[in-house]
Amino acid sequence: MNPENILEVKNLKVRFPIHGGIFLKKVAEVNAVDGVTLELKQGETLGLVGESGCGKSTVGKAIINILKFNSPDAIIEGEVLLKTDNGIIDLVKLSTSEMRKHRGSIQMIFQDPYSSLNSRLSVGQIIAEPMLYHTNMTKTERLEKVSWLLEKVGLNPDQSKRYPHEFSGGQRQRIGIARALATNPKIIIADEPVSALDVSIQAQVINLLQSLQKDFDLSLLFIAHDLSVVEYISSKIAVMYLGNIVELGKGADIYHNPIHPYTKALLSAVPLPDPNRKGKERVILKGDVPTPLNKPSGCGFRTRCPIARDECALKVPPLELKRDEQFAACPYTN
Amino acid sequence: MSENKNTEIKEETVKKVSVSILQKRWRKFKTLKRGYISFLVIVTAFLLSFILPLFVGKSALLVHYNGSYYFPLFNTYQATDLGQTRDPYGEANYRFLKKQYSEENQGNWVLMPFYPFGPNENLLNELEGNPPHPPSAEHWAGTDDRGRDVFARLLYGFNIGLSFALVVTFFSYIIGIAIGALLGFYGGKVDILGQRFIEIWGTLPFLYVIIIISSIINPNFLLLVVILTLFNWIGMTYYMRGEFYREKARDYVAAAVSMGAKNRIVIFKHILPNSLTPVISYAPFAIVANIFSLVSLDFLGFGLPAPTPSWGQLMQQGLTNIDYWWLIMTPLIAMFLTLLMITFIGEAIREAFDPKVYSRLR
Repeated sequence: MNPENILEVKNLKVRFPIHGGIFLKKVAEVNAVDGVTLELKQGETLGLVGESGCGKSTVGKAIINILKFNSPDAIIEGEVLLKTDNGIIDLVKLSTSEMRKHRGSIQMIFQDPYSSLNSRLSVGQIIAEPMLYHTNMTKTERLEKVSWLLEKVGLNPDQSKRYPHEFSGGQRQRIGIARALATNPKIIIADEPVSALDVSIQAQVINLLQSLQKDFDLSLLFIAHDLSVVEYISSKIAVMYLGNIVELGKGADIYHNPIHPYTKALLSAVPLPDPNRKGKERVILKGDVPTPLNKPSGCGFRTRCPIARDECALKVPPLELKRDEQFAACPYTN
Repeated sequence: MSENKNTEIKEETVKKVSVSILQKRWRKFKTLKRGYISFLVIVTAFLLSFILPLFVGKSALLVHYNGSYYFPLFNTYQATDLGQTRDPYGEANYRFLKKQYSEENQGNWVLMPFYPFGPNENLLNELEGNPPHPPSAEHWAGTDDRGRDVFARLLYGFNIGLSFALVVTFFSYIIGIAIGALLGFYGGKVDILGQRFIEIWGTLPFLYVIIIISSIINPNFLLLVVILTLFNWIGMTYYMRGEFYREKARDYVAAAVSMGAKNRIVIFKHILPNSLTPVISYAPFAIVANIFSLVSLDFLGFGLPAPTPSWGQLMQQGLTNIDYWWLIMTPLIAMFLTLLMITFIGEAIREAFDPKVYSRLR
């Protein structure tokens, strides 16, 4: 493991078996994540983009090891290496109870601020809960920290006695962020944290995340489907398509000089708030995303790729270094 | 005027302390007058029914005899102890004593409850003619075929019936919630095997089991509670299983797991409080059903042992003595009113807990 990295994901594969028939035999498998390799440096933000169903949320959930909670028969392969004070551990291999001990250092922000807060608990209880499991703080210490965190995320500390239903979506997402910060984690996985919010609120929450990242020296895995949001916050971007990473590089490079044909198509789909800028030609993809139940052989993108050749069906193209720190999984483009 | 309004609004916003969803629902419940009034009436009546001997009963509250005081509610006194002259055998009859003392006029007196007849006492030696006696100013609902006061039996029967229903509902809910929660939370093989077990258990014919058991041993309150609980928990498991399945997939549960909560905490602190809507909204109807079960069992003669005042037993008497209308009408009216009011409560609770109003997570 590279000493600069705090988290390394190596060849992560997640498969969901589908059972059918009278005896519930395994009839098929969904290859949600098909060999993803990622690195996250201390204090860095890695953006993970892709359209719905490409497996980006599954990657996040596999890293934080909560996939098995709701899908006990999911098959997870590969390594998720986390650097801790006591050496490197592989989160995939940990048992549920061993994993519990490390949960304080890797936290998650959820997509839907309405369903991610328990409506029966007050805001103070929600934010204090992780401290119950990972620290030995007394009640007053916890209350102090809750007030401090509420202030950090831009809420009034007096509001800790209120209940989630008294807050707006943006405020609730701030509560979720405060909860994720409660145990001083090193890594935060933000699973589409702004997708459920209004555009004006999105900017506020993203700015908040950015400033908190500096304050807390956080490493952030920022999962989103909106390239412009990711470009703004991320130092590095990984683009996913159908369970694979197709392009990886610095944020500005990916945004301005995409290499992989899928990234090009994705970028040309980003709406520009400028009616006079018509210069760029749009890349319109043919067809639909193939189902991960029945992935095309070789390159997953070949069925819709404008530059596909016969050879693309033969083997999965590996990520190759194309330019300065910019990798793409396509041998036929530069 | 407008200034006034402003200050009012300000005060209101200042007063507006944070309200949990449960408090919100309770407030909504209070606005549903029919249900809320029924709730107050039933709760008051039920609480009062535990101190019923103060209002209805054969024992005097206080006896003053030859300069000393006696408390027949807590002690039993022999008729001779208090100088009873009419039928001075066995336990004292305080109605006789009251009459006797006032005739003697020696400074002795008896303070009787408001309605001075007990539920199990035989009034044949005080009443003329053959039982059942029709309703009169003294006996508001007449007497039954053994000369016992029907009104007193109805009131004591209310306490027994409602207590029975509450206890059965409580225990069957605890079992049902626990098992349903386990099935829904763990899913997989636990769920499949558990469901099959519940299906097999559910096919046991409840009435036959009761008949068989009560032909072997004389059932008492506790045994009936146990038997009914064993058959009643099944219904709740389906709701809880479904609730747990649904809530388990929500993000707040994933958040709890990802912050390191143990399963026990996830179940009790997170999922259970969010799954109580069916529990609370079905409880009044379950209570109604359990009151009804006890009445049916008593009616069939498999219920509580003989002298216990019960509505079902009164109805059964009414059926055998079909000419004496009060024997069947009074328990029917009492049951109708009780069940109606509890159903009103249930409706109001259902309305107040309607998830569409304050959707459970918003």
